[in-house]
Amino acid sequence: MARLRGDFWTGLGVVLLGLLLVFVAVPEGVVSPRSVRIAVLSPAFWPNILAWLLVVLGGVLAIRAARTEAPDPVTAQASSGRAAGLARLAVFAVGVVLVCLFATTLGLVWTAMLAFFGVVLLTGTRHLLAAIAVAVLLPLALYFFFNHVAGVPIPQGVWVRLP
Amino acid sequence: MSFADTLVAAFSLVAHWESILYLALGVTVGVVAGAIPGVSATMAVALTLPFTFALEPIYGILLLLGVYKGGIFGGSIPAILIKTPGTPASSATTLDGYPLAERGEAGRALGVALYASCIADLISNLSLILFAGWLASFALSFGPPEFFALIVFSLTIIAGVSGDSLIKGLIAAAGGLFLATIGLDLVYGTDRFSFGDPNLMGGLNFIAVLIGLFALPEIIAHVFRAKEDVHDPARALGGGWATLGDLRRCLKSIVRGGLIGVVLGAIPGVGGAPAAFLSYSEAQRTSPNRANFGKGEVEGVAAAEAGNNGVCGATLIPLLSLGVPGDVITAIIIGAFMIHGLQPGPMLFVTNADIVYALFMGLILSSIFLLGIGSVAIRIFRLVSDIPKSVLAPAVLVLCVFGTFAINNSMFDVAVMFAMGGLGYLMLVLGVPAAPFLIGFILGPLLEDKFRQSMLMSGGAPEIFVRSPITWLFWALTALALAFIIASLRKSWRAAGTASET
Repeated sequence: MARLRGDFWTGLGVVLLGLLLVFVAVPEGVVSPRSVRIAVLSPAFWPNILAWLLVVLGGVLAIRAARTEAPDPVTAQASSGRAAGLARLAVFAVGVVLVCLFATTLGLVWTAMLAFFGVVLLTGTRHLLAAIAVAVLLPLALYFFFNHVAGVPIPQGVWVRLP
Repeated sequence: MSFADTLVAAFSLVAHWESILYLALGVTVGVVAGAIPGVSATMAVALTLPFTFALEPIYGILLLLGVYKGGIFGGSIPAILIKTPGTPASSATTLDGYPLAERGEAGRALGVALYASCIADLISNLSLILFAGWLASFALSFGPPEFFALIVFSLTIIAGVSGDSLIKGLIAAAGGLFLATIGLDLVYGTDRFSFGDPNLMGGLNFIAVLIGLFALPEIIAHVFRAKEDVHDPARALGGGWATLGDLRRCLKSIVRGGLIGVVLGAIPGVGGAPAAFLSYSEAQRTSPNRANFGKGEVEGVAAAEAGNNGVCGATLIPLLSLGVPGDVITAIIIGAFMIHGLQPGPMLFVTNADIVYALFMGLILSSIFLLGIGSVAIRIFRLVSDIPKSVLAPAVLVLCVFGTFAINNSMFDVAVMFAMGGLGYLMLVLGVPAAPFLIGFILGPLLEDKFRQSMLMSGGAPEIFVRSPITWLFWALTALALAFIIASLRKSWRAAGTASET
């Protein structure tokens, strides 16, 4: 039942997303030339159809879910576990932004090592030695494969450069 | 080039040591990945894709096909030894495989599973060779309206990959179709959601989207849970191995399962799990040992494995001959073809016939490799089943980052991958399936392109979509598929209504 009531908010979110696309994103984001004589050939035709489809499908999902029972109560223990999980996700999201911003400056290999350690610290492990070994060796192995075998120039960063 | 010349050219492609090496490597990677609980065959194919960029097309595609086939068999190993199916298609294998393992006959169950997989795989590959060329020659006469009708029919795949909720599957597919509209308009060359950013003008990169959708959500879920997955300890293989008598006893079920897999696999969207369960239930219905099914019957293991492996070659029939994916993994393999400058579809048999026949030969070879590599993998399963999630998850994350960066040497693609990972996790939490999203994203540009080409041809007259018997055939098939979908939807809604009343 909890999933069905959750579906109400999912459906509502999809309806809002669809309306946002129809009334904001498509008019602002799609450039339609004035020379278009047949409406179905317009660059905006397909996105509009799909956005309206999202509105209709979201509506169906929300209406179906609204006709079902109330969700099961959430226990205090589950709620505290959820808060800790959400906090970890927030830290992970910040880490992702940092990876995207600094990978080129720091070097992809060193960034990957730090990201590996970051995830291990965030989630905890009973296999610390194995984690350290993989964190160091895997990015190096991937660097050597992509840089030297596949010919992909992996960003080296400005401080420590690899052969 | 004559047919004989094509065959000789194809043989020279496959007979190369590198082809053999990459195919064997692919099967090995697939079996190992499929055997690790939490790593699906889909994820394995997605993560292997970036490693094929630097390879010749034939080597890269053979590597991926090896991973696909190995991954599907690999899923049966944890299904039998720890009652955790490595892939959804292996669920039916658990029914009799685990009871056999509990009785100390895991080696026998795994042996029969391996033989059934290889024989069914061979049947499936032979069907592909027989039917793909024929279907492609038929499809050569298709124009844009016929392709449009075919792609609309292919979109009924979504019903098969939507899981519990068709509405959510349709929402995901509409989202994927919408996302595919980003980039320059194909007819007028104007901006669509690219806002003048050169990174967006070519649209979002397919591989960044698929890695984000299929590999990252598992990692994000691990970060949220922060727990090691605990599963039953792996059962010992036991003294026995499958005998010739076991194989003889199961052969009828294996061949029937293989054929069921071929028929269901050739229909876009059905996939391995229904084939495995149908094959299992048919074996149970006709077997003299039907009372033992569910309690540890080797024929049940053989039937289930034959059903799910019989699908593998057959899903390539619509892929190679029509250019539409048979399931999610073949949707990823379409991307691999495109990366290597090959467009799957009927013209592939004209322009790159040597590669097509080389793939056929490689697929036959893969069945033999599966037999050898699978029997080794069964013995070393304990080494991979106990890889801790706390080490596996960040390792997959690093693979995702390097693999996505390697597509265009671009951190923008990595950012897209992370964004799609976030979306994929949100979809996971909300119970919205990711597979229809990817199918929509892949078929979207084709669908729109063929629609607009047809409209340009007819000057905007919609009658063009019913201009030939072929379009009528596809509309009829679409109507039939929709009727089935609506009927099953009404049935499930009625069941849900009854459950909420009680």
